[in-house]
Amino acid sequence: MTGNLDMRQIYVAQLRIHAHELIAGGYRLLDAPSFATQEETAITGELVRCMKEFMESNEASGWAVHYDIAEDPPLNVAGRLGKSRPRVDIEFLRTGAPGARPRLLFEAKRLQQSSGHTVGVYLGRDGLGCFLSGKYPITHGEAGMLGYIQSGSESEWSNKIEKALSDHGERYGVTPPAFQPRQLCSLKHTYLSRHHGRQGSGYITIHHVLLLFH
Amino acid sequence: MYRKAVQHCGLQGVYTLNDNQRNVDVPIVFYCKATSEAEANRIHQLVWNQDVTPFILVETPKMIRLYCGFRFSSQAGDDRARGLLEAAIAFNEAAERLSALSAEAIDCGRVWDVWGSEVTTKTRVDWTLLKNLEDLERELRRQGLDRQASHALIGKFVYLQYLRQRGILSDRKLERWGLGSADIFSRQADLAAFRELNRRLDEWLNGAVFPLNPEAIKPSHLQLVAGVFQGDTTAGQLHLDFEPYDFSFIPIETLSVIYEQFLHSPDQGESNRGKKAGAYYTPLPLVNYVLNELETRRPLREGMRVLDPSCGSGAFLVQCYRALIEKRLARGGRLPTPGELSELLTGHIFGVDRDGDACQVAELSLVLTLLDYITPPDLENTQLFKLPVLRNRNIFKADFFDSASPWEEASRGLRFDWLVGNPPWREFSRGDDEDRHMRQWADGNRKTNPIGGNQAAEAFVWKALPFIAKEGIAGLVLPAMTLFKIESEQFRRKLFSCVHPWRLANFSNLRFTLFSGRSKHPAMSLFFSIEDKNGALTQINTFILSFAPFAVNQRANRQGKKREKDTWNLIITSSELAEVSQSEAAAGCAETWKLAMWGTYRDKRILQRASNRFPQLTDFLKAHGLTPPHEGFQLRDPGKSKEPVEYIPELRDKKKIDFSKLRDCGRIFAFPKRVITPISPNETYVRKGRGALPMSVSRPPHIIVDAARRFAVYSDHFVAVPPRQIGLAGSGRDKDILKALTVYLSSDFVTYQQFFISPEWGIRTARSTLSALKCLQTPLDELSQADIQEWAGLCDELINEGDGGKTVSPRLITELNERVMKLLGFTISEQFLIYDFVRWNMRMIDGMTPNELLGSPSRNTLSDYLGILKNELDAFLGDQTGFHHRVEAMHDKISVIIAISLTTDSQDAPRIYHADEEAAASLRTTREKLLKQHSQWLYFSRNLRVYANNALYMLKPMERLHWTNRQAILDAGEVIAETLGQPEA
Repeated sequence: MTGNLDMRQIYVAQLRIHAHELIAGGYRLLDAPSFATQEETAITGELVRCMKEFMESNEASGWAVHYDIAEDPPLNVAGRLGKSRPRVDIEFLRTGAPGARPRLLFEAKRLQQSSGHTVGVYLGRDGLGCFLSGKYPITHGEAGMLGYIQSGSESEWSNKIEKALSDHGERYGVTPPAFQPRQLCSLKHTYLSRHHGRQGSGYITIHHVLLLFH
Repeated sequence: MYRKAVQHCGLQGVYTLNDNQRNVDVPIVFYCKATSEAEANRIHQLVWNQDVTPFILVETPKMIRLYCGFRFSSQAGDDRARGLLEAAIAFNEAAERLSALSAEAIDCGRVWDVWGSEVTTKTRVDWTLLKNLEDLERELRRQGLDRQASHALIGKFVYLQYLRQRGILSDRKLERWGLGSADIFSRQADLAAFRELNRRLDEWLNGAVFPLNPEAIKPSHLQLVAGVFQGDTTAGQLHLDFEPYDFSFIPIETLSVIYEQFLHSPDQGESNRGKKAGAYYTPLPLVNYVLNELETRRPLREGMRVLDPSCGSGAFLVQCYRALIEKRLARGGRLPTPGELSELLTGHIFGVDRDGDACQVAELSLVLTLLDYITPPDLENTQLFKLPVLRNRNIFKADFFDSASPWEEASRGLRFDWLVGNPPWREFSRGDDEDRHMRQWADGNRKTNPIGGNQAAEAFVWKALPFIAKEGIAGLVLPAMTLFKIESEQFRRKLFSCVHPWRLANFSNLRFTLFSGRSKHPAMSLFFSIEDKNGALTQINTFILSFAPFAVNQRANRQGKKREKDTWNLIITSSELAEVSQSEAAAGCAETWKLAMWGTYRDKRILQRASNRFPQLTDFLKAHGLTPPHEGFQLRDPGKSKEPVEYIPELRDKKKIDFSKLRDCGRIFAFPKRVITPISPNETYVRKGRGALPMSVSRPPHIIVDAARRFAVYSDHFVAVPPRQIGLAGSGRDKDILKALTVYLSSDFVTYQQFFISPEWGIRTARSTLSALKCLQTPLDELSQADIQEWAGLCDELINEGDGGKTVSPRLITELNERVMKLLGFTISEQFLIYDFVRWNMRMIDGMTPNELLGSPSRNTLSDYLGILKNELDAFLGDQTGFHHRVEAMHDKISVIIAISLTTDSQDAPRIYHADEEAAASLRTTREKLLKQHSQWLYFSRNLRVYANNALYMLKPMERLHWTNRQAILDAGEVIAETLGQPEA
């Protein structure tokens, strides 16, 4: 088969897969349990450092050279200047030539019930809400959420997230099915949800990656 | 320009290289109509005076003539010398004989293959006139007139001739002043009349231009000059021909530059005054480039002020003023009134220069530009109108740094919307009184406004910043070394943190052509806006678009055998664009700009990876107890040395290397016997206190590393390491490790790495530095003892085979490189990137355009390229997707079109077709369509990529340089980047 395949669409799918692979590669290099009580910024910093180390290692695939990873980069949003610009936790962006740079943004949140890092916070204004409200600009209708699990298991948290999205579908602009497993890389606990943005920005696909840190 | 050519040269049409996106319009052919052969010749003369187009086609009732727009002579013997390229082309032959000037031939570059050698810039009007003026001056000097008076007299006559031929100094004007034209403009010129004319003119035009000492000039001097300007072809022993010049056609901007160069030309035995002042006259293509860039960003319009803080002869200001007038004209549909023209000038145009002559030329040029738009230009119909007084109102003869200058007073509170100019590129002097204001200002502001060394241009940038209005923008021509030299790191850090740069053009590779040989210093243009009140970066400013044109890609201006050639156009090729993040620029690191010019994100990754994984050479040597690298001896003959010297007894009867005999030696592993010479007893001295370290690296066993990193030679004998070359040494037990190190230092990777981290290599010099070598990542600790012995064995083999400086076999070089690459852990793609950079890209240093790079690639080369391109693209998709890339190419002699699409067929191999082949029909149709839409891609986008019908089409020139393995990898990266960046269908 040839001729009718949309190159862009297939390349963009690769961007999504590669971002997940880089997260997986970086996570593998981390001593995850040692972050059981760490703040979210400390974990993100270390995860990004490890992702970069992975990219430079011989283990990384050839495609890794086409990406850059930025930690806590300011985002260009109309009307927001300088230090008032919003910052996302992790940004995967393609490199290689001048011009438009599609990027996949990931917002990270700790998940630890006892210290108040709940699903509500994960899905709230400063979590998933950043994408749904349009606070973070996205380039091709996709973004990601990283859940740093510091208590309980991945399944427990994925169930809680699914329940919250199902129970409050309207609040989160959920398009059913609310929360589905979607394995894009060697990580097992990756999921997908679809939402409609609040500012008429069309549908947004959110990739959820749950990483165990205890 | 075009308007004038339409009015006086029968101009019917112009074929240009046109890039609307960047406001670029380079005329290539003027097509004119004449009623006779004589008129055709006259048109040729006038267009040559305009100095804008390389080719002129003139149609007469009988036939068509082809002229060279950059060559004209009424005296020369044959047609070619007169600038007539084709004298008589019958209409029915025109299509065939002028095929190289067809739109298609220009677009595909064939015009330059056929006619390129005729575009000799040395015969352009500016160079010819300048030479004639200098010859005339020499004759006046021979006749006893001093230099200043000669300059003033000739300058005055150019000026008078200009006024006369433009109709400004009309007969009726002269008559009203009681003067006859023969009293001035003939070989019977009269000194009294001449003085009266000058008095009148100074009064009318508000100031004495080229003030003359009346006593110094004798009637014979005046008559000589006046006669020559009227067409006398001999003056004493000289043969001069001023007849071709028509000053009413020479652009004012061109004349200003000629003036300024002439005024600053050196006296015998003197250094060039302009050079001393660091004033490198900005070539007009560069002026136009800077102004186009500003215009694209924030168009100049009425109400905006322009400042050039080092205006010289006003090249930037005149163009700005002209642009304002032309815009008014376009808007209003009528010529502005004299009053409006005056307002446009005085309300918008401002310049400062401490050189009084330059200020006068600037003022004159601006006033003459004004008069260009008045009919009749002698102002006899508008006698009430007074020409504006510019001195100390718009043009300030002042030191920009003098806090008590008239400029300082007048500029208080003034802000400017465009800051333009080419500030002086020199180190201001500690002892020179002329520099005292700049020096004091720099010393007082060094903390907040850091300057690299005492670079005047950097001081100008800081001093000028506060004059930029809130929404203002700047376009400055600066020394490119500002980006690279270590001393300017703080300057870069501060500047890129406090302004918003959006574009940087680094012209280093054009340094031999840009200033026509007057200066070989690399130049750059920096464009920025000032920080807004929030200290914010807006989206557009996150990346600086960096452009570094290579001579090899300047298709319409490609150098011939001689490297020093004039520039008549400057074209931006989108394939030479790179993006540099502002935060990276603000880190001040020179490597950023080196990579932006010569490298890519892939090179950055390679260097980063090596840097993260391996220790630096100094640490490696230290860990192994080896002597740190050091430069060699500066041997001195005590009888000749001006510095204190000390005797080094150990140097007696020893050998040294004569590096001057190693100019074209390439990679060697042993020195040729002819370059090993004994140190004479007189040379056993070195600069006092500079003997110990060079001695430590001259003792065996040691390695001598070439400053240009062409070779590293291991030696078991004492050899005095020469100055600037670097030595590394150890003890007898370190022989193997030193030999292994020699192998490593001789590798392509080391050349590559050293090139990128040496600030000046490839910019201004072909040398690396000691500090670059110290920073070299050294992976030899990864080798086992057995490996080290193997490497040492390879070194011995190389030394044996290369004995006496002989070239060693490619097999050994390949083995050497393969060992190094394996040790460094580079992938095949990374190896291609490194090998090809050293083999191909580094041959373009200093604007070289070797034929091997420009020749056609073979079918095998194309095939290799396509294979690598496909592999790289397939690697991006990986094995899981089930998709692969189909790559097909079709070529003729000029270009190749590549079609890339997706397929599920894993066995799909790249295909190459010749344009004639039946199977290429579909690609041929697509190419024709693309060429229609992007006809001048070869000039403006040498790697054109277009998406259509779920496929990507690339157009590339059939030049070897574009078909290296490295290029295949980089092109794949760009395909991936661009495909990802495509808007959703």
